[in-house]
Amino acid sequence: MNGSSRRLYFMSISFVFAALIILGRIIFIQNGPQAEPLKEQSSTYRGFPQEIQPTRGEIYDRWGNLLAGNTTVYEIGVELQHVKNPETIALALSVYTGADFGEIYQIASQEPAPDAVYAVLQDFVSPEKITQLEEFKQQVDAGAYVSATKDENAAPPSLDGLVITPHLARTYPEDDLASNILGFVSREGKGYFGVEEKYNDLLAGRIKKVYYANNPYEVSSMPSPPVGASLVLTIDREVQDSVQQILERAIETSGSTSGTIVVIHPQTGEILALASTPRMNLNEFWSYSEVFPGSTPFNRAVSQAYEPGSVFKVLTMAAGFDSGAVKPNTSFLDTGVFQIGGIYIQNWNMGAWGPQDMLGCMQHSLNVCLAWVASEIGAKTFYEYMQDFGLGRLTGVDIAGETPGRLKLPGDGDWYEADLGTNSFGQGVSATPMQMVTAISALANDGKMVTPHVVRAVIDQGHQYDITPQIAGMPISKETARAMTNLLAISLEKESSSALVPGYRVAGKTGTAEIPSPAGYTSGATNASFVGWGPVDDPQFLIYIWLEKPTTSPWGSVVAAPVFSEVAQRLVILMDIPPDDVRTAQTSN
Amino acid sequence: MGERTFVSRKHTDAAVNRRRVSLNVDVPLLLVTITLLVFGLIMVYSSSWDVSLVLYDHASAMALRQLGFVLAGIAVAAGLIFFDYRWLGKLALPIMLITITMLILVLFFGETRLNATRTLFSGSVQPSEMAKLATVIYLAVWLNNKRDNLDSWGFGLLPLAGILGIVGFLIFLQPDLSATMTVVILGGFMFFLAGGDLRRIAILVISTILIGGLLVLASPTGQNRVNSYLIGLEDPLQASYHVKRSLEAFVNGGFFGVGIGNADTKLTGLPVPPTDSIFAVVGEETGLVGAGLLILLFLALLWRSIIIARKAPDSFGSLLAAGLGIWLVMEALINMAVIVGLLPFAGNALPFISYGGSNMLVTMASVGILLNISRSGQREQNRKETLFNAFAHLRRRDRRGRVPRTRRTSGIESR
Repeated sequence: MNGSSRRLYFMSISFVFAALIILGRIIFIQNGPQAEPLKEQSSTYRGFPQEIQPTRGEIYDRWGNLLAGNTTVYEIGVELQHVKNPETIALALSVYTGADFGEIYQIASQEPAPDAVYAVLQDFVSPEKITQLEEFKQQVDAGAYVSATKDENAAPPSLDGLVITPHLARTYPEDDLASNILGFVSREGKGYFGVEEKYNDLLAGRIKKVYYANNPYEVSSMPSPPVGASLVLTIDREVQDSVQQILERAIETSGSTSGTIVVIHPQTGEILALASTPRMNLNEFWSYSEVFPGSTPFNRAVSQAYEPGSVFKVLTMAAGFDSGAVKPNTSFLDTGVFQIGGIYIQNWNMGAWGPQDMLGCMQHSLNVCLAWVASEIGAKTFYEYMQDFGLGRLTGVDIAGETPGRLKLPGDGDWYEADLGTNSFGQGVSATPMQMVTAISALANDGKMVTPHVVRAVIDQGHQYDITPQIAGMPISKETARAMTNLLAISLEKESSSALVPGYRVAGKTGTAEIPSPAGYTSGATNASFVGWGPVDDPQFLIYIWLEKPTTSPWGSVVAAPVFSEVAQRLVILMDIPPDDVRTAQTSN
Repeated sequence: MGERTFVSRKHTDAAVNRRRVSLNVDVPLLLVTITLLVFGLIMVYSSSWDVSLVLYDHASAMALRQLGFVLAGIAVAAGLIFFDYRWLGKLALPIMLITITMLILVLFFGETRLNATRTLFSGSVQPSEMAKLATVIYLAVWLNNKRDNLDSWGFGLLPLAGILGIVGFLIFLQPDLSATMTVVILGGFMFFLAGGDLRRIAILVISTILIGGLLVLASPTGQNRVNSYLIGLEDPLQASYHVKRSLEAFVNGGFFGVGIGNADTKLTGLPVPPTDSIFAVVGEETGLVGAGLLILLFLALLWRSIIIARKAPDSFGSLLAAGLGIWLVMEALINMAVIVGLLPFAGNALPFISYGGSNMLVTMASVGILLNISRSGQREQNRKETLFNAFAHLRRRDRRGRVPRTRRTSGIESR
């Protein structure tokens, strides 16, 4: 027993020694150089931060009708290690969600790798399709189908591994209504064009950073998901729809390549409707490059500057009145030609119109007369006025993609004195329809030029922030504005223009501009425009029409003027504007 | 059954009856066992509530099951206290045969978990745990019988290698590499204790290392573990995920620990906190102090086993007691060494503490056998003492003076 005891003691001492080593090891771990890194590693396991993408804000028309919202769509993916039969998955998706069989089969039959255990098959699938797919899955799970192959080893039909994940996606209930104003949102959640791009940061909201703790003791309640700010537009859905329809018809009947109609409230700058072609169904934003091939602008009203032609004359004449260079009753002898800067300005019909007052100059749209007016004003003053009207500068409209056009100024390398003459009737100067609308709003609003805007209010965290109308400047006096409006109203009446609106006195001006080609004004193609506003005593709408390359007639007075009348007649109904006699009767009472 | 006096054993006097109940067992071992069990239950609850909540919808589900195992273990131990260990000598062969049968059965009908088939009866019985206990009992019997022939090849080493080989190989097939190693090492230890020739032991150790090395190299699990172990031993930051997380737990724990229930790693990805990694949870929640005390408790267990072995009435009991004590403490030390990254990863549970029924039952069975040996030893001693010192020891167990005093005793008298 003695030798045995010795061995027992020896072994016990070895065990005690082993225990001491373990204890020593613990002390070493706790105090050794690796203690700090080990402590730090714990933070990587403690939890993980994640960013919560806020629900994108919605967009409403001025009466609260939803124009852009969010809807639940589904991502279909596979967990590769659970896939039993990729063929069934590919078949199901090709039948129920319209996917490509071969493509899906290839993805679903991948071998799972450590860095690839999940693969996306399809995204943005509608709830209806998902319902069908799930019904099919139930049938498969219940064993309703057997493999068609005779191969004994073939896997039985199975949709195992299929994962359906819901998420929010942008939806536009009105499809293409106001599409040029709204813009669209990419799958990554970024806004493109229009309001979606301009107000992207507001709509997208602030990304909320949350920390998901793995330790249940540290778990805090999930913060309420942030929501992006919603926008209320100045657009009236009904007006917008009418204007779009009218534009469609006008383009068709005139054989134009494209068209744009802008309707604003001249006293506030609110854009009531903005139609431009082409339009796209925003729910199918992937068709963008098809709908807008090449460099087609998404919204012509803000993104395409053109030579406006005769509508520009209203600005020249207003500058003439305001500077005192001419008066409405100033007479001018039209000899059919005016020399300025070494070139000869001629009228649209190459004719000489004899003695004319300013009303006649506008009514007959005499280039010779207007060039003379511009020369009377003088280059310096004329361009000061044009700059005051905001030409050559961005209007500040809250739609993405605005372009400033071009107003050559004395001193610019490519400005010649002749430009003063051509600019006076809208040649050699380019402006977007939105710039023209902005400038002319001064005439319709007692000299005060308004900044056009499409957002009426921002709704953030349950609070509504109204956007106040902004005066962009006062390029002309109230008297000039009244005089011009009156002059243009008479001009339309005298001409018994097709722009006239029964029951309402309106002012307006046609415009026909030859489209310059590199060789000069030789193509014969024109831009037909019209600008008008009314009722003249208290303007409630200002309408700008631009039809590009009309084929039935090149003249603005023929193709664009009736469109104005049509739009205005719809407007007075939709906006509840009583006829002038009713209104004056009411106010005099 | 207190000391024997001159009175008849069949005496039914109340005082004598009370003495009969006294167990005569090794009290320190009993206390160590109770402490370990209570501490183990607390730690199992602390480290299993979240898993329980997920698996059984009830935070204390696993702790309650463990309580059941503990109670069953206590029942087994209590039964074995009164079951004379000498009978084990006769039962050793049947026990071994049953164990081998179960080890074979598990290979065919077992439940596969984590790529290894280790359990029977839908996961409730783990025969490899039982095999360890059976090996200790069987070797104690066998080595004791062969005590005189231990150093001869034909009667000593080869049969020993044969027994260990069969059991070890069957466990290896599951595969459970660490249980195989445990059985083999345990066999070596017992051979050493039984008085095997040191040169032979040296040969045994060398061949075991060679065979063990081959086994490790042959199994991909073993290779991986040894590789990551060697890397981790050099630089703890490069250790396997499991070791890194358990080291992190010890660092977090510091000297006094973060407090029971407050550990972080057990909730953030420390693998299997209630079973293999429970020592890491102990280290984090009770710190160096708690871990040290736990080690101390196991050393106390070893100490008591050695005392019991020394006092055992016969050499079989002595060998059995030593073998059981060494086995339990070895399991504990291997588990702890693994958790602190000193040994390559092994699936040894921490006896008394780790969650698990099979382990708890065989552990408590060992304790029961140990207590029975201590009781037999005590009785043997008492008998000897009774024979020669009957008068001197007459009233010792009553905690009264051993000889009658001149004064009358009173209740408040100091002893």
